[in-house]
Amino acid sequence: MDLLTDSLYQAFLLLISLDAELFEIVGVSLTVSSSSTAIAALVGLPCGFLIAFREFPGKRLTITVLNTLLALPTVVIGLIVYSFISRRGIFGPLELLYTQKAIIIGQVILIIPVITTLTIAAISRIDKRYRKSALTLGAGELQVALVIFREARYGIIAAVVAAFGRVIAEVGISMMLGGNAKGFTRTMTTAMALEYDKGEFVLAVALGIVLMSLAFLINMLFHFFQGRTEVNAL
Amino acid sequence: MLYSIQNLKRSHGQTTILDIDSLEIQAGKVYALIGPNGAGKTTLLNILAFLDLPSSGELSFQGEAVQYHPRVLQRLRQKVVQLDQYPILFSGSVRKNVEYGLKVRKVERKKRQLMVEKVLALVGMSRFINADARTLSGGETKRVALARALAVEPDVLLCDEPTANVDAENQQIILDILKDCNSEKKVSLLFATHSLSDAARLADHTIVLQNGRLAQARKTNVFTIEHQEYRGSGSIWRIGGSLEYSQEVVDPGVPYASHVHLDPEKITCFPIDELPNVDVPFWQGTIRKIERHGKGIRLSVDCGVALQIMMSLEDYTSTNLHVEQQVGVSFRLTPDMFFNV
Repeated sequence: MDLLTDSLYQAFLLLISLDAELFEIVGVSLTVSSSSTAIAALVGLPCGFLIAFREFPGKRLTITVLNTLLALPTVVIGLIVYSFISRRGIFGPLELLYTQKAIIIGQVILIIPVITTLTIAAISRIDKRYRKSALTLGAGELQVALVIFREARYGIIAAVVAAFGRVIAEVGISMMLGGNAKGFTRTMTTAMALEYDKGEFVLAVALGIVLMSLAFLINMLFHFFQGRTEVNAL
Repeated sequence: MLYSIQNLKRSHGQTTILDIDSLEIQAGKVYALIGPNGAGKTTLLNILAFLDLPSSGELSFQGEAVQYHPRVLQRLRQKVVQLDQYPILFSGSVRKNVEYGLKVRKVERKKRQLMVEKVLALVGMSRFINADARTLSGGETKRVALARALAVEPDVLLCDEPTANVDAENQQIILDILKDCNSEKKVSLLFATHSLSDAARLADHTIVLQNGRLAQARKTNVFTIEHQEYRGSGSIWRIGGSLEYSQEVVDPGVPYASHVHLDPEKITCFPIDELPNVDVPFWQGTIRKIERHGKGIRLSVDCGVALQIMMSLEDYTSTNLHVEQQVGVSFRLTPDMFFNV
């Protein structure tokens, strides 16, 4: 118990003193996670929209595959991406391994299914009459799509927030593809794992506090937007 | 001709929802579409609004065969607006909702504002212009949806049960607006309804759908009919709930019919002091309205039920009829007038 309380006390001191190393790690985490979330959103939102909006053969199978990919372990993604970007891989000459770009690639693969499936759910919940109303008022396909997007906006934002929460807390991809290089690819989760291995709990606990605070904030945002979606659906 | 339908079918899997051999709808007229639930009224409206595709058959609009290409359909939809039975308003203000169709048509901002204010005034919703559309009641939502539809000045307005689930006050407002749109702006109007009185009050023509098929298209004067009793060699019926009618048995099957259609051109109307010298039943009523209708004159006579009577201009001139005059009306029931809804 002394270990925990002492570590917590020291961690708070570290946070209050605005420790440079701690904030560097937090900075790397936020940069990598924000980038991967933005890229995944650019891919996942239109995909989710098209899958929800259009009828095509194999639609149910596509949704089932995407739902299955939600359970994809980060270490599996790490392994697959590693096989492509390691020196012997086909993208080896690009020298991506152990860079922030490598982590971003892995994280994008991790959260595209998250954003896509949650977007499908958000769009599918939207009343069919919105589409019909826009069409009968003379809207084209793109204008109809914008109406649906607008009505589903809170659900879509919630999908992006959930995806960000997933990547900020993942450790497998960051460790395997980033290599935990100090100042470059050391994220909050990989730094915590390292500090734990070293038996140094203070920085690990301080990072844990930051991560938990971020997770809390993300969940608050998620529930806020989810709540708006439900109110909207009434 | 506004719409022309030939051998049109709409199926879902093995089930045929709509099967119309031939139907023509004229421009500038009011059509009531009646039929029981599941008769195919909404499907027909969706097809006429170019929101649904027929499985087979031909549909012409304003003399052109409809081609089901997205760009063509969008162009056609800009002339036809459908008002849902349960309309939904987009999130945002009433103003944003009403101007949506105008924005789609790239109408400039100032013009949009003027049009929004005009149509909201028309439906009596001006004070709600900046209100959140989601906070409106059912009747108010329907009126704003109607304003949204009228803002784009459509050639055709298709309404699915425009007065369903709204209070009597809102019902009257909606019916008055629809009537004005047709008479003043020459908007062709087709509305699905369960209310025979709405159909009788508003429509020039009535289309009856049963199990997806067109029952004989009937004009106005569709009333409920109840067989009361057999008396001597004849029968007693009650028409429209109040008009008692006695006649020789017309057909053994007809006592079980639920509705009767009285052809406006086969009803005789005469001044009360000029009783016809023939043995036909007649009723006393009051002329409520006289209007020009096509080449003839249409009289609205209140004789317990609101009867529409058509007469030629020559007959009208010779009888010298006028509004609020007491008149006699007479007609004979024939088997072809009876039908079930």
